[in-house]
Amino acid sequence: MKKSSDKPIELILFSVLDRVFAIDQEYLVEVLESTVASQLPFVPDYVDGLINVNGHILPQVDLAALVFGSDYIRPLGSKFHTVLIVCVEGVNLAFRVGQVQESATIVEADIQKNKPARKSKKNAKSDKDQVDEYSIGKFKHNENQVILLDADALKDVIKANETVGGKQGFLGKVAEQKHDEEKFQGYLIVKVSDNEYAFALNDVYEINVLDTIYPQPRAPVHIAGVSLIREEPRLILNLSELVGEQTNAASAGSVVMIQSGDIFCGLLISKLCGLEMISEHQIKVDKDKGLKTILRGDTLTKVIDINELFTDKVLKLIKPYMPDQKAMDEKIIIKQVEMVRFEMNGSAYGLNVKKIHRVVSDKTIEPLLSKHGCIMGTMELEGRVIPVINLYEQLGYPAEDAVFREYIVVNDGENDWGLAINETDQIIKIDENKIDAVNDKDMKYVSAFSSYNGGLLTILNVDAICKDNRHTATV
Amino acid sequence: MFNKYIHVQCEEYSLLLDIRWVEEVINITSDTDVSSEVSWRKQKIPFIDLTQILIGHKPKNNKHCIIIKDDEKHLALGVGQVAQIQSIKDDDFEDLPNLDFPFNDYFDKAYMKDSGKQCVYRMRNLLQVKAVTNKLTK
Repeated sequence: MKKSSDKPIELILFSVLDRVFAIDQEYLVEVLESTVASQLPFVPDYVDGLINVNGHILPQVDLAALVFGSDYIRPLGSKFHTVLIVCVEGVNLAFRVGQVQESATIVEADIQKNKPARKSKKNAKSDKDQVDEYSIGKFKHNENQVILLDADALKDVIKANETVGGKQGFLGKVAEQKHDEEKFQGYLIVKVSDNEYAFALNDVYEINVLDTIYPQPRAPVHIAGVSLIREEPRLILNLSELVGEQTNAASAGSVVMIQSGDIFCGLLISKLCGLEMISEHQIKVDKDKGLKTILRGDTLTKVIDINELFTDKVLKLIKPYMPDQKAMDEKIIIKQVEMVRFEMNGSAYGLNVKKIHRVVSDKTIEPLLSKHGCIMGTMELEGRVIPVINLYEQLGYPAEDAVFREYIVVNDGENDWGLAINETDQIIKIDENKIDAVNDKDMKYVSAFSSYNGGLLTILNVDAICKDNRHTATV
Repeated sequence: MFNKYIHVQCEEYSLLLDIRWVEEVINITSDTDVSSEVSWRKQKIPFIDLTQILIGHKPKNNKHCIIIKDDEKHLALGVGQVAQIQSIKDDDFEDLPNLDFPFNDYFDKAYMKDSGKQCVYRMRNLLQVKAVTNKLTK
């Protein structure tokens, strides 16, 4: 400021922490309530960021941090709820301060000027008290010592950018026009038979590549089988069947794991195509048909709604095969269940030894005069004649070329039965908590699943197998 | 004239990238190996964690990686999240203050969003920024 010593200087007083500051009103443009600044990276601590003041983008400076250093300790109860817009040589700056107090009028002679000192480096980190650097001096007002800010020094804190065409400073304006806004959503693109489909990424739990999918006996075509995923048996469905495409049997492949309500299963796909970010303008919804598609290039890809996949009809078909999702509770004693393990059609099966009376071999089977269920004949055991069930046929496997060497004698609570198999493997022990029971209501011949030696073990329901043949037994 | 921009969020920083430079947006999963290079389309390309550069420390969770291009060169940028696409007129951008700080290496303009309450920074193509490309060649 260059004024004659007796010319009055109109000042505005304001607090910064517990000190009182003043600035020449000639430089003051506006006083505002403090707002949140948009942060700027790579700036010193005293720069809060950028603010919008009546459509102008201005940098906002924390005056306390600037003059007292960034390590200043804010006294309890102090607030910074005022912004002073200051204009020096055409440059607008915003300073965040405490409270504006009052105006004062002084003359130059009232000012106790600072001793000349070497200016610190411009824009250096303000890590110590730099009050003298940014002030002209002090004066007394109403028993308070007031620090008079040097507007010229403040201007040097932030340099203005002069663009081509004479635009000065960093003034901005708020856009008034509305703009099209699009949002991205992630979609997983898969191939089912020969067609591409999309899953909303939020619907996808995970994607797995399975080496082996164990088909289930007499399972509906919707069910590809059961596979072990991280040693847990998971039901795998043929997505092709669910979406109306041609289903080809597969014993391995990529699956999309999904969760819908209490359904947690894998959907077998032909191929995983990729992931795409789709804008909302590319999404088409036909509310009448309940169809959602996405436009990719010039192709419309149908979006699969996982909630609509599982109709009541489908649920009825698949639930009997759905393993329980057992919680792994804290174990005190691990019970083990003994099973007789054997193989059939390349898959491993187990029978609870409690249901088994004995295993016999080298038996002559007397065929029945007429066909009854899956009973292939009778055999003599301990002076009695018991019916023998062809287990291959019972479980839906081709039985023409089956070679039966052993017969597992079981009891269903009423009668003894022989289950004809190729041969037993061994007796194994499985932790009870590693056995995942299937839904009991509509169970067929499978009572549970487990894993053994890295492979799936399907545990058969002896009672159900025998019950299906009971009414035909005439011995 | 309207140009399309990908609006990206890197923690507290909102950024705009000209969509003409963007080759692809990929997800970063726990399996994605993001060191100084990433594998992309059978080639190794340099990777920069843009969020980490802006906030000064390792971010909690970058969800997306944006592959940008300049001629035949590519660069992978780790960002918090891709939020949306916006069409913005050139005239609606404003100059940033020349504060002699490195942010001018990364941003060239500002756009006021949410009725002027939030400032969104327009990114430069980092493949054209010497301060960035020099670090990649070290």
